Amino acid sequence: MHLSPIVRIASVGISALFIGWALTLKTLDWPIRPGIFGFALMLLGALSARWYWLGLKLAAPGSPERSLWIGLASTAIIGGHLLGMLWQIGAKMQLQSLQTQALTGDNWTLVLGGAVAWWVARDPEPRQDERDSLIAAQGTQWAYYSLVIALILLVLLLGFGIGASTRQMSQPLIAHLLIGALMLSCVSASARQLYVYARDQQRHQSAEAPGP
Amino acid sequence: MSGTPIGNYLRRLRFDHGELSQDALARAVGITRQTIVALEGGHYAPSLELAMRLAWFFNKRVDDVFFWRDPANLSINQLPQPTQSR
Repeated sequence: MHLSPIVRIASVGISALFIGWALTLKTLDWPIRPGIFGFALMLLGALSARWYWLGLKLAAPGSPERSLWIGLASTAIIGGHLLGMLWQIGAKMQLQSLQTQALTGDNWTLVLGGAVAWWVARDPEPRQDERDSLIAAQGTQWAYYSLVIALILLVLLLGFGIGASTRQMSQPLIAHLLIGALMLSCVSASARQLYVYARDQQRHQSAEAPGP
Repeated sequence: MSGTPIGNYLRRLRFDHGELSQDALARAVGITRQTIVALEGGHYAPSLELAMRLAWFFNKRVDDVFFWRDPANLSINQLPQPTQSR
């Protein structure tokens, strides 16, 4: 099945975000800590990606692209977990509560999972060049704009937010919202770079395809 | 990095050099195979340094490897003017 680059990138990002969110759901009866489950899932995903890229041989993506796929999925899972965590705890978030500490433990386990996943799926022969740097610069540009948009939204929420929940926002909650904004900019940078790589590859494939 | 106005003869040169693979050329000039693919597909214009490295590898001048696709549409007025030396 051939999916367009945008659909492929969005489906990985949104699925990972949803998985991260689902790991915070109280309704699910977890036999182990959800963080450990997420860690195992990330490891499994990284092993599958490594195996798949190994099978592609010369057609396998380059070193930066591999890191970006893992980065996108990991950051989206951690970001989804962070959002779910903030949703669960609510505006009166306190760092000392048992619920916050348990969810924070899960979140750090997922961060560790992301690092291990990157190590597992990394290119054994890392190579990058000026084109990768140029694409990375485009990603940085997107990250900058995403961060500015997220910060403007936060400023509007904090400055003009109506309702009791906005007034009750604790310092830890605001700090975590800022972390969420940073993660959004990272996801945006990865998605943009992956799109550029996929677009170039698609153009190459269409140029190589035999005519009617 | 849409279609660039600069074309190249890299594919032909590779075949003229004993059907050199994209990966072998990439390794020889210190870039990735994906960049060779993008160059050959005309989706990427290299830096002057890379253009010179590729030309040096094939023992050619840069002009023999790279060319303007449509010189008729090349407006000199659009190019930056050289600075005047005192």
